[in-house]
Amino acid sequence: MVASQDDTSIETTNDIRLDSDTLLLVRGLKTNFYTYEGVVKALDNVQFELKRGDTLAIVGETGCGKSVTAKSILRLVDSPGRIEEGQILFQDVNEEGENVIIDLLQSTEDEMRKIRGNKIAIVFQDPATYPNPVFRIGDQIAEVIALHQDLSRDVLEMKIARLEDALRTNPDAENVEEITTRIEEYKSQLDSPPPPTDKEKKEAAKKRTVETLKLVRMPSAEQTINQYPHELSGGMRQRALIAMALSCNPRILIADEATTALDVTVQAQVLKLLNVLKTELDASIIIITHDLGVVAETCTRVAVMYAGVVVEYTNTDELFSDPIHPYTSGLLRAIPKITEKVEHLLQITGTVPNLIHPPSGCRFHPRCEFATEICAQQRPPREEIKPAHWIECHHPQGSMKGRKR
Amino acid sequence: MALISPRTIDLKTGHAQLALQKHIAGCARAIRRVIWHMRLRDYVIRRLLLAIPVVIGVLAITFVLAYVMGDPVGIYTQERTSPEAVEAIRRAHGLDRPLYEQFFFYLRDLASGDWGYSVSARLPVTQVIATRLPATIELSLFAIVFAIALGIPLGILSATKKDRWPDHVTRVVALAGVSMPIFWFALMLKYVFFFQFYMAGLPALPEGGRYTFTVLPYTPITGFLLIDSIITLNPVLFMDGLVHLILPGFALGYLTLAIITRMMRSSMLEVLKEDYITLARSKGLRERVVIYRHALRNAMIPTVTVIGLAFGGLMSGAVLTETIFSWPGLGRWSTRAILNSDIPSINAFTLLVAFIFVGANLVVDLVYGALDPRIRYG
Amino acid sequence: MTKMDTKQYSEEIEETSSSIKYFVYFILVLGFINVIAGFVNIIDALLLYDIGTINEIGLMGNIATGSIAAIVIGILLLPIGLGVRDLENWAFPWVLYANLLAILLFLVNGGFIVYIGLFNLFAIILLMTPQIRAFWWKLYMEDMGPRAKETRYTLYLIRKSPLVVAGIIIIAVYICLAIFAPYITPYGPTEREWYNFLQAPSPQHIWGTDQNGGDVFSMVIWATQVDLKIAISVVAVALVVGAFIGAAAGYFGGAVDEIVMRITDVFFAFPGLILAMAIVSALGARNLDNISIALMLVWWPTYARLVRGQVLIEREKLYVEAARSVGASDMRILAFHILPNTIQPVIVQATLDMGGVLLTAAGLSFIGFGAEAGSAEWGLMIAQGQNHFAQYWVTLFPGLAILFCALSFNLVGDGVRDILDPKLRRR
Ligand SMILES: Nc1ncnc2c1ncn2[C@@H]1O[C@H](COP(=O)(O)OP(=O)(O)O)[C@@H](O)[C@H]1O
Ligand code: SF4
Ligand SMILES: [Mg+2]
Repeated sequence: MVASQDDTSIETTNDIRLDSDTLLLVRGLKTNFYTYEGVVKALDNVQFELKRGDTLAIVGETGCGKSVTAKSILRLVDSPGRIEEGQILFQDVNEEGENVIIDLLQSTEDEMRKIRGNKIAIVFQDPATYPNPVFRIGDQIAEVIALHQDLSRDVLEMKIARLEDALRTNPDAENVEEITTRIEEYKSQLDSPPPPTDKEKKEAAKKRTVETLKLVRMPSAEQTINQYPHELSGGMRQRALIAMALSCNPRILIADEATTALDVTVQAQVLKLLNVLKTELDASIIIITHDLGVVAETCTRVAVMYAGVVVEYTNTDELFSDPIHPYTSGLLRAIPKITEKVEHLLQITGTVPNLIHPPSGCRFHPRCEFATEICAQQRPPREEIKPAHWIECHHPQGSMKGRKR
Repeated sequence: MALISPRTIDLKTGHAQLALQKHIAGCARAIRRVIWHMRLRDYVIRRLLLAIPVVIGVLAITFVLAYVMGDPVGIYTQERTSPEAVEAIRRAHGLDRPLYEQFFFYLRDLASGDWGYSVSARLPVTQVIATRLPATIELSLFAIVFAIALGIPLGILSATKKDRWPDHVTRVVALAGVSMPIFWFALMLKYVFFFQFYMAGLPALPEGGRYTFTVLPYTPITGFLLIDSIITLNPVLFMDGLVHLILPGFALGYLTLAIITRMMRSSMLEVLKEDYITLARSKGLRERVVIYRHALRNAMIPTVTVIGLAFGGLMSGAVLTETIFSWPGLGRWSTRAILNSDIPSINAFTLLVAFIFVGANLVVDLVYGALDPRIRYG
Repeated sequence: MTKMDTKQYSEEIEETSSSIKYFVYFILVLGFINVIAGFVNIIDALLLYDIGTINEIGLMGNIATGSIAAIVIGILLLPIGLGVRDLENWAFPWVLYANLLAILLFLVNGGFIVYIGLFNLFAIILLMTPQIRAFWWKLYMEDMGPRAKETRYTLYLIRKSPLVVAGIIIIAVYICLAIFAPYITPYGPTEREWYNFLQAPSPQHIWGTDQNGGDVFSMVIWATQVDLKIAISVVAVALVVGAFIGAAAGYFGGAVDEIVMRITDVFFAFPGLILAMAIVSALGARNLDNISIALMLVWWPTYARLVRGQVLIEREKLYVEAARSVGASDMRILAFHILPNTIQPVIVQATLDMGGVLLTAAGLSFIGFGAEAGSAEWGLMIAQGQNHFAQYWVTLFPGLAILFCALSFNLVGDGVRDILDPKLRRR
């Protein structure tokens, strides 16, 4: 497994091998924000992978870099921010059906545009601020579809259906023969459809928009497409955003706190929806959350982040049964019952450090009860302490407690 | 039965040309449009209602300025007029009545089209306005079209190239625009493009006026020179009028241009930081589409408000520019009226400009409503 | 911190407490001085009016700015002094605010009362001495909490912004020119060499002479006094009047708010220059005082709206609630929270308006409202030189003077606004 090898052995990008079921591998990701106050070292050496069919959770306190990680994957980090180094390897299938590996950080802006919204889509945190307030919901979704999807077949099918419909309702029309020959003609074109006009494309995209909205269980989808974001409730807007992300059948869906702004019942619905969609659309999902209840219910793997670092990365079951990093165990201790959703689950003393001057060595050491001298001096290496269980810590806890390094 | 008898199926749309079906579809569309317009109409009515107290206030202020603070009797009297005669004039003009009655008369006169007599122009005020308003409107429209057409692209350029040289150049241009005395700028333009060009034997721009009246005949039809020249198919006059518009239009429009550019830049910068722009980028849209489709419309919302407000600056500027370029509009008339203490003219001018300004802001509000669905349905 | 803390805190600095006693005496005496100066100023103005040195408008202006300010602030200083005596921590910043306001208004008023302002200045200096500062500065900063840090950061950003610094330097140069005009200029403001009219720039007249033989350079410098005084007095009066009205509207809300806002709406329905034109022609006489008054009437609604909006925002803000729940008095909330937060946008607006007023005043004077023909005033100089095309220097230099003056205020106002804008701040 690539991720288990030492960092040094995979310096060259032209020799990339990934497991065939690895969809996304983030390695050594480092993102800084150049602000007036100083350089915010928001991400430092972030590393995790996403397997096909997995649901990966990224958990951590507010401000620990979850959203920056998500934006970095799609290279959407805004102007004061810059992705300094790292690799984001995405295993895609090209037209011939072969697996190709793309380093998203090395690809051109044009290539990125073909991936964004198409291969990798993202649902953002806040349904109130993310939809564009001056455009209709339907137009905003149709925009992505028209951009990435080849709609020529849709257009043709639409034309055929329309003519057949007209025939059925008007069997005694004057030009029945003409219509039937036209239908035949269209049907013969189905394998290599002619390029549609913009207007036809728009219509087909609209049709697909309605379908996608129905897919996310949007009530009265036909009406919704003509509404503006401010006319919808938070839950509906969130569904619209999810529909936007799903409309091109992405291979990876990143849901950045997609449920945080919603109330609990809607939250449960949306999560259930995501899981159903995962099987329906054969997508892999990254769920970003600070809610461990969500993790336990929906995710197969978890990356725990603290102050811009992935401190622990393992299976969900493993994480809950045997948390090894002190931060993780603190997180878990803070919730009385895992399934119960608690708003403020963090009872660890202190707050997330200022990332302009992050703590030396292990970034968690000022708040860690097991910290020793070495923790303040050296950043702990990333190691696979148990099979498929990575941590960054000098003094592992849990079942590995007291283990000599 | 003619309504439901089928005719042909349209190959393109697939609509069977069923008269009834078409009729129903048409009805549905019409109803939807009416509903949309009703929402818009409510919005328009709300805006209009809000303007009423402002208009009343405007009338009150002009009344106070002309009849309470100023001395209206002074218009009709000379130093030698005897006190009895003054009293008589007072009574004759109702100036001895209580103020509210005078205000009522004032409103009545205005409503009945009696805006007084302009001593400085030796014509009734309404007639002066009728002949001079088109010239001012022509100049202002030229200036504002120039300002919008240049200011919005410049603002976008400045915002998208932030802290690079196009941004620096644009900002200097805009800052100079808001810091420059408009009359001085007009004089300097005249100095360079008229005087220096003329002295250097270059094709100089005209010194002032609307057209070369010494050579070209012009009888106003609508009063708008450019329109009239088109109506009468007179390309020479048209070009001449256009050439005469350049300097005053530029002098007048520069301030507005600066204001629009600055606002466009800052609102564009703000909008580009919004979450929905990140969302638009996350869809894989081209940067051009992100800026011109997703950001521009949002950034236009505050800019449109500023255009409405800049219209006030435009009217102020017209007074100065018209004076310098001998433009036969309202502004020049107003300065002459002031120098002659011609109170009815000053009063009418102030009132008219306030009405135009209020009207312009109403239009702006409507554009605003069209741009921002949240307002329209709010 | 509560009053109790202050008391404890004061015990630590027991040894300097005699200085506070004298400070309290000084403030109380200053209050009386200000009240008396206010009355004397009224009598003075009435006398000047009697002998015809000033007209009704000058009289009203004198009473409105200097006298009322002196009396109100004098009376205000009494409770403030008592507050200082009791070591109430709201009282110390109030000493600063009240005396700054007094100095500003006295300067606008002119006349002998400017010298009374020296006492107020002395009060501020005393307030800043280490002995007195020990009683309040730290508390003030602590109570401002994160905002104190913000303020320091803002100052840092201002220092780092070259355009703002350039603007401040140009403003300072203009102010120096205005103050030291008699020592800089080779000719007096009304000095004419009628035989030397429209001379091109030469060693004698470095910017040439105008159509009356006036030295353009000297007149441009002398005009600095006139134009800056108009701008400062218009903005100061509009600001104070507008701020009071706006604060009242925001504070009382309801009908008061509604009426004030409708009135400002009406004022905003006129373009500034044109309303000013109408007002000046209604006032009758054409002189710079009338221009100032017209512009004050035009400009106050800007501040009324701005301050009202700020007061509404601040009133809603959570920390005001928090401060109130700790048991803070209204005076203290006003001094520590509402005023400092409101003042920032008001200062930015005032800086920007200095440029606007300058341009509008020059425009009015250009049309022919301003000073009598031939006097040293920028707009008028341009107006009188406008037909002398071959003698470009007659119009060029006064125009440049206006341009750079307005530009400097715009640079500072713009830069500071960007720095204060929370949306642009963290870039
Ligand atoms: N635009 C920005 N400018 C400066 N710092 C930023 C910016 N965006 C994020 N950061 C920094 O990056 C860190 C991580 O932020 P984020 O990823 O949004 O946290 P979260 O885990 O809550 O999603 C924060 O500490 C913040 O200081
Ligand atoms: S490395 Fe040290 S400080 Fe960091 S989590 Fe482990 S024990 Fe705590
Ligand atoms: Mg986040």
